[in-house]
Amino acid sequence: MTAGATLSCPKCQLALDPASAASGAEVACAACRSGLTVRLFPAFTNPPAGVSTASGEHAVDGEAACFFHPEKRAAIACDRCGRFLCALCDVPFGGRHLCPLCLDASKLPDLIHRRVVWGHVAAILGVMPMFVLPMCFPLWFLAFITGPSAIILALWKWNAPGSLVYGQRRGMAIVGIVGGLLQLAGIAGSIWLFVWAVRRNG
Amino acid sequence: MAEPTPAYTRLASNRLGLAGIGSLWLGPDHLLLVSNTFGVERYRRWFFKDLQALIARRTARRLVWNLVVGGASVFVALASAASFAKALTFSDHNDAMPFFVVSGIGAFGALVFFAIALANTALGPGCVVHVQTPFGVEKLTLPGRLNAFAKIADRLTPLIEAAQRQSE
Ligand SMILES: [Zn+2]
Ligand SMILES: [Zn+2]
Ligand SMILES: [Zn+2]
Repeated sequence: MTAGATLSCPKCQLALDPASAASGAEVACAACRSGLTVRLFPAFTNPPAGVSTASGEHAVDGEAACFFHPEKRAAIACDRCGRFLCALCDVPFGGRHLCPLCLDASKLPDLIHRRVVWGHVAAILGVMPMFVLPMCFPLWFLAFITGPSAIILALWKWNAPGSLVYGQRRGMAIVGIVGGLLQLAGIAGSIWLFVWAVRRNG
Repeated sequence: MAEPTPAYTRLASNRLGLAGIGSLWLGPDHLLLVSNTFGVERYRRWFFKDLQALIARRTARRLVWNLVVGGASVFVALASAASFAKALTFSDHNDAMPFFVVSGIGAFGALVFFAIALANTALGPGCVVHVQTPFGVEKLTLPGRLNAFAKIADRLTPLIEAAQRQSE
């Protein structure tokens, strides 16, 4: 699927006429009557830069073909976008294999796919047990673990990068520390109460 | 320790059940979907250059919500009215009081449910959004409303068109 993409109903996969959908107004799928609002962009009709206009045969049926040269067999996938590439289109770049389009964009910082937001984790460890543990009495001792972990995590990862979009979430780390302290205070209080009760009766 | 974080603008956000939060962000040259599960964020990007189409399919989400919340509102209002009627049957003020109280609480609850239904109606019809690139069509859980989709699409369209003109 290169030059001139196709459009289909996301619910029933019936092919849609791009011309009728391009107006931007809602259209009804002829088969399942789903109301569809479609925005088409130039890349829908124009193949991306670098695509061969000679649309040859696919390598062999069932075999992966180069994204830019549908007639050529894919040799490797782009490390950044996952497009299949033939030997011609594969650009080795700093130990990675990139397609011509991604090579252009590689001036950007390395793409991050996953981050642990430690401030958020500390907040969960600090706050959640205060609501959950009182409901399951024999598990109270877990606050011995969750409370200190919340505090230690929040302080230890204070300078960790944090969320890609929200930043370090230090407010959440502080909530975690406060929650952890409250958990410890709760435990200390129960122990004190227990000792007091034993002494009074004993 | 200032790292080069690209500036992102939030376009939409929602909760993914109890466990996480999803949000959609506008980056310098791409759309970013963040899903947060217990503090672990996962990122999925769609580069403007690759975007071929955005498709929003209308869903019955608004109607379903209105039926649930509206039904609850009617039910609570009926219970409140019944309690009020019961209160009127007592001659002694003190005996009637609890029923008046229950009736008042019920009326308040019915109003709250009704307000939620109104807000839900104002948000507009629900939708599911699909993003089409040369790699296929992917489903997004946000934005969940057609009005929000139209706003976001209006905002993205010039950026996407500019990015795709550049790459030609
Ligand atoms: Zn359909
Ligand atoms: Zn690539
Ligand atoms: Zn190729």
